[in-house]
Amino acid sequence: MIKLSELPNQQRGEETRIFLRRHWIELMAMFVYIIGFAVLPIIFYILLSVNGVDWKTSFWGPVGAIMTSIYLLFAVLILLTMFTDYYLDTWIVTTERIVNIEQKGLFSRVISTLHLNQVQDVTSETHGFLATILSYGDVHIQTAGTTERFLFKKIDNPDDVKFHIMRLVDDDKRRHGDASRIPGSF
Amino acid sequence: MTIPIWYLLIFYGLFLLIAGIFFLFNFFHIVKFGLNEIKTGLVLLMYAGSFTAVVIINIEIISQFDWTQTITIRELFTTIPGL
Repeated sequence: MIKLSELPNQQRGEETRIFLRRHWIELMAMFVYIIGFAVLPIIFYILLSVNGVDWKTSFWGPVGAIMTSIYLLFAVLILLTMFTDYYLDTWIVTTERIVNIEQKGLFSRVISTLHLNQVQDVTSETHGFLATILSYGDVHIQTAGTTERFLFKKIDNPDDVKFHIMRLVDDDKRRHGDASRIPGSF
Repeated sequence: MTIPIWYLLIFYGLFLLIAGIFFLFNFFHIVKFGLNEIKTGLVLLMYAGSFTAVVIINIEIISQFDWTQTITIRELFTTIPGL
């Protein structure tokens, strides 16, 4: 497991300041989809019962039971996989760098690190009615390195996160100098 | 030709095995890559609990039927709903 106090390649004195996951609205959307899928067998059961299927004495009772069981198994698996993807997508901002951990499905994981003194610009965006009411959105981080932009997707309070990151970037550039003007430099 | 209905349980067993493997993959990912905090422990409990709950529901649904029955090919087609 990852410990925020013991990140890989941690420098002396480096402390974690921000730890982010996507907004809880993403979880709500997942649950709504899965509940919708889970209700489908009940609808089929009612429709077929109305059309005269005798579940107890005919062959279709056991068939329906097996199909419903398999369907529910895969519905819960899809939910768990979607939750794993949500839970393991994280963004960590320390006093020295930004770590972007992106889980892509079950068997693909991308970890990117960016040193704060390479940050050129930080932009926050909030689009849509729900995003405005619930205060979630994206934060884009423009860098001087080979990865031009880091993207914090659908995070809580993107404006506050943006200002916090900019303060950390300024502090780091005062300590280590500004590497954001020369691409690829450290 | 008669077919024992319990043959369907073999299909179910295969799907249950596949589902169990994918559940373990998910569980492993959270254990290996999750953050070391109480929330992760709760997430793992939720994973195990929800998968176990679905398997228990499946057992409840399946146990309502008599799997020792057999069916003939003719009965299979004549009992199709709507026909």
